[in-house]
Amino acid sequence: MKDKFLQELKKELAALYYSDIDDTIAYFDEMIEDKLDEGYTIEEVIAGLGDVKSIAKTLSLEEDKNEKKEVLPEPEEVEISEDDKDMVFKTIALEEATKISIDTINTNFEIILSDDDHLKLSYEKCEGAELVIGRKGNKIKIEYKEDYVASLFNRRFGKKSAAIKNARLAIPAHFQGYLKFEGVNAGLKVDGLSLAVLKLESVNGMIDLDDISANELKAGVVNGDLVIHRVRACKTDLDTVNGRIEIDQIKTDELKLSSVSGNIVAKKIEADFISVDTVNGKIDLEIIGRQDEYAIRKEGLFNDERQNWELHKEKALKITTVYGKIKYCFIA
Amino acid sequence: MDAQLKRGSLDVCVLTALIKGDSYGYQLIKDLDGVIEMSESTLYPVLKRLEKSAYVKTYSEVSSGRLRKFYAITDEGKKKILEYLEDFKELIKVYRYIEREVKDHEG
Repeated sequence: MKDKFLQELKKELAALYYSDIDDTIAYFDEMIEDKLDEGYTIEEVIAGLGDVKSIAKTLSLEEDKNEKKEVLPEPEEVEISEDDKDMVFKTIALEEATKISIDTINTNFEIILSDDDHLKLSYEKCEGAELVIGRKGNKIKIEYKEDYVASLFNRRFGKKSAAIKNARLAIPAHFQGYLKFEGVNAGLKVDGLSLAVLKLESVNGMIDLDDISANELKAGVVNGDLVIHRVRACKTDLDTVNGRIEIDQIKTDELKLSSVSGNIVAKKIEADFISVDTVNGKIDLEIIGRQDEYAIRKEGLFNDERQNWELHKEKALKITTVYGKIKYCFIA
Repeated sequence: MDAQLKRGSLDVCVLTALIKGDSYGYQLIKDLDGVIEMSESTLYPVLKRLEKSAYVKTYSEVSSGRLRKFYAITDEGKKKILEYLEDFKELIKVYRYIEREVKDHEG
């Protein structure tokens, strides 16, 4: 059980690009042994340490902070024209980076293609907050950072943190890695990118993707809308809590759509495996293909349409709902 | 507690726990229980940070039949504690001022 815990921790840390794995595992090993010596059972010890994922997250965040001094970007000279004097420009060379992550609040981001080998971040000057860009190993991180005094002041007087306007990030065309976006009160618009993995999450913000190709696309919104046009991906996973998902033209091997109360309208779906679930949202699908190519299965708490999978078919559509209304059609 | 403030305090708490003698991970957790909120996963980065800044030295030693990693405070580490106490005196002045002004401001 100890080995399993340590193995899992190792895996989670590796997934977060943590660099000090062996030493950390030795530390936890010693810690667990010491607690066992005290007479705790292994179950108690492991329960006491907490969830592996959150341990890994804490360690990785702290490692980032510890290394921040070395991480902060080498600022490069950028010529600023008279029109741009209210803007902030930050540039960093892509080099060996395989992962770009954006962690922000109160900022609507737009991601576009860069015309050279540099990541270029720009936004309107903002009092009390800035976007910082830094590098750690093969990871480039962009974060919303509130001025320390402003953050204390805002918290004390219940004021909102400053909103940063017109944030735009240009990514070099040959970047083929992993893009991660986490935003609160922050939306994202991505246009014309081709990447390995996109993981995008927004609370109260809209995510708008146009002309994207990726191996894996995962996007989720809580209250905002998720709008998708012209996407090609091997695996696509889209979810919403209260927002709306609108899809026009998607080509993917596996498509997973899920919603709690939000509605989903999807047109021109080309996918071999489609799985849709909603608690009480309305769902409207338009699938390119013939109905007889698909094994179709509907599951719900209050309907009786359960059928067996027609296993000989190559394509499948799976629908699960509690109170939701689902409509689908096939077009040529 | 504010994250930045807590970070500095955590570091100095761990250093302080090492004044009475060298110690290891689990012992430190037990010693600081009730003083400051500290879990196994928050202690590790603190120890790393202290080691990197040369406020502590480490060595491995067999104790109760097992190899443990021990931490010992350095002179730099002791200086850090004194600096923290000095800095805090300043902070307390600022705190008193802020507290007074905020109260007046709120009427």
